[in-house]
Amino acid sequence: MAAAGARAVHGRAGLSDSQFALTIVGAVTLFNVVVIILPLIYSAWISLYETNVILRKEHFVGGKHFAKLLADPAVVNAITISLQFTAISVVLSLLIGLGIALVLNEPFPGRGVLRAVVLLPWAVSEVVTATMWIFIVNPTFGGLNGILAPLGIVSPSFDWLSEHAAIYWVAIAFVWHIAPLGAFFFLAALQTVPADLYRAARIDRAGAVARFFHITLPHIKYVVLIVLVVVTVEAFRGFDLMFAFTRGGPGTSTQIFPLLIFRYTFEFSQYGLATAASYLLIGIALILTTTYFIVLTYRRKETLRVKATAPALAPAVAAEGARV
Amino acid sequence: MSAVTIDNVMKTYGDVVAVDSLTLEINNKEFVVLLGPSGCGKTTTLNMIAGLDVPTSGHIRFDGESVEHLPPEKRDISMVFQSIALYPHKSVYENIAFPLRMARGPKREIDSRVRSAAGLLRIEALLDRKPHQLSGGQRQRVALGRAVVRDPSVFLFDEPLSALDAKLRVDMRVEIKKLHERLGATFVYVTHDQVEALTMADRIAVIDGGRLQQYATPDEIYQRPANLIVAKFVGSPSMNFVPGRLIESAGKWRFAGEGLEVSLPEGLLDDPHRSGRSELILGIRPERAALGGTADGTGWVYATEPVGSDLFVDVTFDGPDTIDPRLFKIRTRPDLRLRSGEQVAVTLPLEHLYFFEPDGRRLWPRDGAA
Repeated sequence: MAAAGARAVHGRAGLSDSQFALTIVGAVTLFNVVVIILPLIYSAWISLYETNVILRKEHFVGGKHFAKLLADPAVVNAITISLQFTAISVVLSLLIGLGIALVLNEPFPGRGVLRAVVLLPWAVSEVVTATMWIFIVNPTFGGLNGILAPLGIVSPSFDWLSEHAAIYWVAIAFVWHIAPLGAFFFLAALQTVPADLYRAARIDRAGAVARFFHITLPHIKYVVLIVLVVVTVEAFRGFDLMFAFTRGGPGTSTQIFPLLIFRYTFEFSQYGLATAASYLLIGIALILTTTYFIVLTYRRKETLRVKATAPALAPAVAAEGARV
Repeated sequence: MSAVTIDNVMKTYGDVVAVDSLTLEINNKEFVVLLGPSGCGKTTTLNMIAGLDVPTSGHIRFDGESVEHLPPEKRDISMVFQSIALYPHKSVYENIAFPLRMARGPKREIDSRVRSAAGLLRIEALLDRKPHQLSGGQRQRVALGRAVVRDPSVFLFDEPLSALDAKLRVDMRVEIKKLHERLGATFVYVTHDQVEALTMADRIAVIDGGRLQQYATPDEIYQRPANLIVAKFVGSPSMNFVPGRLIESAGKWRFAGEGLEVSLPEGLLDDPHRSGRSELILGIRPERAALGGTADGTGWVYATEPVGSDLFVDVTFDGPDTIDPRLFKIRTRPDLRLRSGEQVAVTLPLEHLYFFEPDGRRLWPRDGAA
């Protein structure tokens, strides 16, 4: 012990192992406090005050903003749209991501190149994604009408982004952007499934579908949870894409909750209301992700491995929640 | 129950020939071990019987019916894997029941068959556990249970014991042998462990380089190896080999190797000239050579290896002080005391000698001779 300690002291500028560890962890903690914790506390404080930017005055109003938000039909509407957008995005990107991963897990010529290319949409920023999709669905110069109108399938200047359809188009654009990330996670998980399990299952007369549900899915269950959480949080706070694509329009048909918060802040300068709304957003995101977590690890008493994985995931879920 | 026929089967991967014109008849209810070093093609052969691999050419027949293009699920087989390959998310019960569930059997029948398979392998107490809560030996039993429950006509084993420790391996060997007796099914068992092969098999197929070297009973394989490859691979410690040549003087034939000379009675080797080639290789098992006696050669003790019941003496004929000697092993009494460097006489009884051609074919004992 003494010898090992002496060596450690020698190698790390006179620090013992635990001093070294504390220094490293301390620095990160300090950074997190400055960048995350302090703004959170400050915004919590703001949410309790009414601010008048012209008179540069503020006075304490307590929970008034929260009460006002919950009674406001615009807020309820925005949350509904957010949930709708999130639901479409999560379901589609999970299915498409898993589908892509399953295909890319099979050997075929050109698989290496395709694996690299498939991740590209995720590397493209959400604003660029939105711009690209505008070029596709725009009624006058959009690519979709450019192809379909001459064929007589749609009328010229057909408006894809109608009040009813717009939410689906932004969701599709978002899925195009985020599904490759899911595919990436799923592919990594698929490669850890031992090949002998599939061989054993074939000997046991399990067909392709049975093999997927009895071997593949249980094996990648926790990666599914991670992807669910990531995509949900990304969709629920998905400001960039929506702002660049539709700005909430037409009307308020795509005005998701983060867009409303943006308007409170930068158009109406209602900082107290905006921060209160942000807390509402965090709350909803946390409820969603915690629900997944509980549902997917429901039968956790069965295996020790789940117990080991579950607490490891909890901080990740919390961290995703905090990013909102 | 099925007889399995492997008829002139080839399997190539690109330019690599994994299995080369292999022909093998496995009788109904027979326990056949495919024995060979790693990469010899024995597992590929097993996979082709299972349907996990398709032969490049040739036929695989179950009871005379070609199955080489049938997928595994259409063949009446079970398989136990080297990696054991239990389904990690399922309980022991679910693991064993899985093949029956896939066949959509009635629930009550599944339950009774799972319980009787568990009883056969003495794992009833483990049915609610998950694979990761089991020891290596218990997992292997569960894997056997999953294979047994279907009551297939052919059981395939791919080195099922290689992941177990030595003690457990010996126990499981007996267990699998008893299982074969009780089930009366055809067993095809792949291993690189010649002790497993000798203890369990009705017949052993020694495979090397994708080719069948010998296919015979364990006794035949041990007593009359078809060639140098089989002689080297079967037996532990391995047979001693001494390269040398035939010499004639005064009408008598002798074999002269390094440090050894053996007088051959007439008729031992039919045509000693063999069109002018006199090189051949002498072989003798460590338990057949002896220290002392008539002294066919004189060597030096290089090292001794006591193993409790026996003492193995490593003798070198290269001189007392050689750095990298060729060793000749002799099994002897455990109470013999020998020093390194001590000079010893070595005797090779004629009736236990083997002679091989330089190309590996066995020359003596002759085929057919008792």
